[in-house]
Amino acid sequence: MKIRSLLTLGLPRTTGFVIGILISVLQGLSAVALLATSAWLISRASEQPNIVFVSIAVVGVRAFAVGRAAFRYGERMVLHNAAFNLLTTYRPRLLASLIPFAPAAMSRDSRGQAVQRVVSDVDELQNLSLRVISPLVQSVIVSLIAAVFLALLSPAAGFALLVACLLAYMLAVPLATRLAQNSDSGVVIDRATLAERSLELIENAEVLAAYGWAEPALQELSEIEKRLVVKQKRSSITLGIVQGGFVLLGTWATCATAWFGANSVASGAQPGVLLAVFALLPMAVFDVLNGCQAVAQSWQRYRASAGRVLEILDAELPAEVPDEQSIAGVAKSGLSVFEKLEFIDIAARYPGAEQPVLSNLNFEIVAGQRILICGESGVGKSTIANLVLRFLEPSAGKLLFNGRNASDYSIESVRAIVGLIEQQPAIFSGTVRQNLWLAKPGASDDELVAVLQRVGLWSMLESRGGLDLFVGERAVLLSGGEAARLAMARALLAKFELLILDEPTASLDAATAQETLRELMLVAEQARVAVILISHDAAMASLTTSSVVVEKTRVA
Amino acid sequence: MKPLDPRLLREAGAARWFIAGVVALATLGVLSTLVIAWQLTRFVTSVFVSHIAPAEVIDALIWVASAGLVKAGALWLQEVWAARAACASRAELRGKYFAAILKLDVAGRTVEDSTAARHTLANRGLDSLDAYFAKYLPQLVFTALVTPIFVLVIWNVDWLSGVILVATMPLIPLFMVMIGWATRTVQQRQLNSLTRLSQHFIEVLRGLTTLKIFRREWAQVETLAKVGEEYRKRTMKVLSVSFLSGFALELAASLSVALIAVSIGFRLMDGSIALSTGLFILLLAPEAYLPLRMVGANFHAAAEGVQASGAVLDAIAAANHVGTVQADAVGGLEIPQPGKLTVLVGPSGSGKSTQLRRWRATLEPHEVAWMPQQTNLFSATVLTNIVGASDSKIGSFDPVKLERAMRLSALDDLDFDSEVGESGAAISGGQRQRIALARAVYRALARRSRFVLLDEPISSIDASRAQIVVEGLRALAREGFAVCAVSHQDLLAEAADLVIEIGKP
Repeated sequence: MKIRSLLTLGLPRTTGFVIGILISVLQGLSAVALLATSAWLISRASEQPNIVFVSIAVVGVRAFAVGRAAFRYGERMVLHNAAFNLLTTYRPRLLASLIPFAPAAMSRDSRGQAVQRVVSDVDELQNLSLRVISPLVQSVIVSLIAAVFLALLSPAAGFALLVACLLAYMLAVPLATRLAQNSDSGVVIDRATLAERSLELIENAEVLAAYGWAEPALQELSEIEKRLVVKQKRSSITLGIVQGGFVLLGTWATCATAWFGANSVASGAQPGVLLAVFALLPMAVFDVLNGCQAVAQSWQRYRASAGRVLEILDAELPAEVPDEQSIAGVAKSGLSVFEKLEFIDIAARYPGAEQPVLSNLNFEIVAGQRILICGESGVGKSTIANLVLRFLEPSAGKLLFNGRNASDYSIESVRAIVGLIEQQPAIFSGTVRQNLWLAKPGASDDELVAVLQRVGLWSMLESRGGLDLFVGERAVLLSGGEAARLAMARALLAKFELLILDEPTASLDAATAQETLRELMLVAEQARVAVILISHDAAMASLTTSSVVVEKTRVA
Repeated sequence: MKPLDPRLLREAGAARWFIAGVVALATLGVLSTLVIAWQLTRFVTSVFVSHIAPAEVIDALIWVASAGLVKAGALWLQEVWAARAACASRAELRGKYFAAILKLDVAGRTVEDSTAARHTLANRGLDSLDAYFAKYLPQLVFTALVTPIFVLVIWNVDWLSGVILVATMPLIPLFMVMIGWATRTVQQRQLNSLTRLSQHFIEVLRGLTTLKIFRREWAQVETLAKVGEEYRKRTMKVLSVSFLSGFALELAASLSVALIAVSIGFRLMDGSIALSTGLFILLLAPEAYLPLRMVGANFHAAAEGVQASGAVLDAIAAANHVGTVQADAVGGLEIPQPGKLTVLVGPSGSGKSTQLRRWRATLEPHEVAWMPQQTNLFSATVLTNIVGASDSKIGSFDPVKLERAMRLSALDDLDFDSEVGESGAAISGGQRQRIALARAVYRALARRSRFVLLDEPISSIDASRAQIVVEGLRALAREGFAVCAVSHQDLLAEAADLVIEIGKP
């Protein structure tokens, strides 16, 4: 059952894939036929017959030689293309299944893993068809055909080849799987740990260097590397056994078929010209069989990655988070204008958490108002934003928009009207213009410049490239203040009617913070945009019309 | 990629003996192959041509079976030692790369040298170097050693086949070089686009909330499909060239075999050579091409790793030149006085943080307690984040000073042993900042680091706690530390002994 879903995940169901498999079988057959025909040609020639008898074989030798190379090329191109087509669909699918979880139900510890998952795991999916299915199918069909062909000449020889091939499969698949299981799954885990730890090292390089903590961190990484090396050595032993085993089986099969062939030649059952074919065919077959030596290892690796991908794809949305996709299907009234937001005895809890972060919260805000929500760090102020934007469902109480239950409106329409500037808003690697287009795709440069002027950012950017300024990865090329202003500009551009500012001035200098906020409030007032300002600083109350103090939730 | 990269060869020092062993074993394998070919030929011609009863020449088959055993054993050991060669070199190189990253300051980073790029290099990039050390390098040496043996043997048995062999063989390296030129740029592009794809993905995942706020999350799904499709097309382009090279190599080899077989066939017909000669050569000819072909195949497998190793070796080389700060490059203001709380103020982007970094660069590392603006934490306990992993593990820290550092940093709402999550994701921004501050303060107290340099120590801390921190920093200054902070908060500037305004004309 489990294996079945793993197989369905990575197997392309396209004609391209089937054609690729067919070509690979033809390739294997050409390789075997090349050697068999050559052997026959030489043997027959030594009997010095009329040239006509060998000239067909000569053509065959040349054709098979070209075919072996040409089919190989075709097989690789077609199969890779089929596999990559599959991958291309999985990346967005994975993202799509993660979307409903963000941010409230997202495991916060999955950053390093997310990289590992999406890039490596999805990449790994190609290997089911390329490194497991296709070599297996190719070699099974080719070895069967070769064994049947030999059996027609001498049943004992055909049987010997069949047994050798069967033993090779047993070596390559079940035995190697068992041998590789421990070490290989360990390799995957160690690789993931190494990836995580190295990400931490790269991100914290500055602190590690400044504090002289580099040594232990490097030590830890080298410990992981050592573990990885031990396991890799172990799996190389397995791989070596399989490789050596194949050579052994190949030569012994040669001995057997040569022996049985010689006997049937000596008894006169078969002409002597075929003896070289008896002797050479197993080698050619094992050349093709070599392709499935690493099947077990590839399968192990695939299974680990595919299992993780399935986990993401099949994860169930926790009850605390609204199911955006199924809600989207149900016809709901849209929130077209913001008049009033009410929190009535609201409590909230994050998925998996035992205790609520908020309880018995009451406040309201009407259009045109600007309120301050303050409280100490960790009392759940940011949770309020998650509730209003419907990232999280309240566990108790009522959340009303314009007097009606928030869940009566489509989430889409709520987010069109209600906006948020997070504590650390994401600035995407790209230009200033691209970041602003997030809020209003295709907005004209004039409009963008105007909004940058309103947040006081244009004068800072104008000389550095303006809208075309590249902001760098995680906005490293912008100062903290500039990044915050850019986020504000984005929010203004989206024309929200209710805007939540979650600690927006943390990295701005006091004077500019006041100025920017005041400006924002002014814009809000003019456009009748209501503002919920979340801050740990009660002094911000001077900028708002009223304030709400949130206390820490006491556990009874 | 060059056939032999001298910089990489130097790095392969740890693996030298394993590589030599692999070559020796491969040679043993070749000798077994010669035995197998010769004895098999003897068996076939005895029965077919001389009409000897099979049982009388069974010793030939016993030879074949035994040589097969030797060949199998050699191959097994060869695989094991090749893995050792790869592991040894890769482990050493990765260790050096990590050390280099630590030396190359974050300030010295370029845009391409992003976290994601470094991460891809250190992991995927260096992993793919295995193919270079385990397969390509031993294969190259082995081929150079063994190919002449084959040529000599075949030449001796039948000079005409030897001529064909010698004439066609150079085609393989020739193709390789030509194809190498053609693929180099595509290969580079392939690595770049892979990095871009991974970078794009990290960004989307990190910024998923922001995307949802602007209702752009589903648009990103489409963008990702597009980027992925672009990646697929690029990769297919690279592969079509790489596979074409495989095709050319395989065609050259298999046509040469066909050429030899046909020529032997015609000469057998006019009786100018014996069947035993012809069969022996037919068996050996593919084996003679095999090592060269394997070099070609491994060349492409190794290319990705070598490509990545270029950037890694550059970083290692660059790190060797870091550490000597040129005095004239430092410039700027004088180092703050001990015993004073100095605060740098000025508008965003005026260079306050840069000034702080400059000071840090001029001081000896042990003199500085440093708090960077980006308060990334380690996914460990609060304690580990403050005193460091090794000291917290063996419990070698000063509890009194630790308590004071935590009190000074107003770290009253977290326990020693609370986990902070990956990069501190499980706690609030204010808590992260206070832990980073406590780290710097503890360092100053425990190691007597005279200069306490803090970049935005209270920007995310609530007012009452910020008050505690500011008083603590003043107390620290009075004890003789040079406390110097970059801050936007008036609170800190008001408490300072000296305020330096930056960015004022």
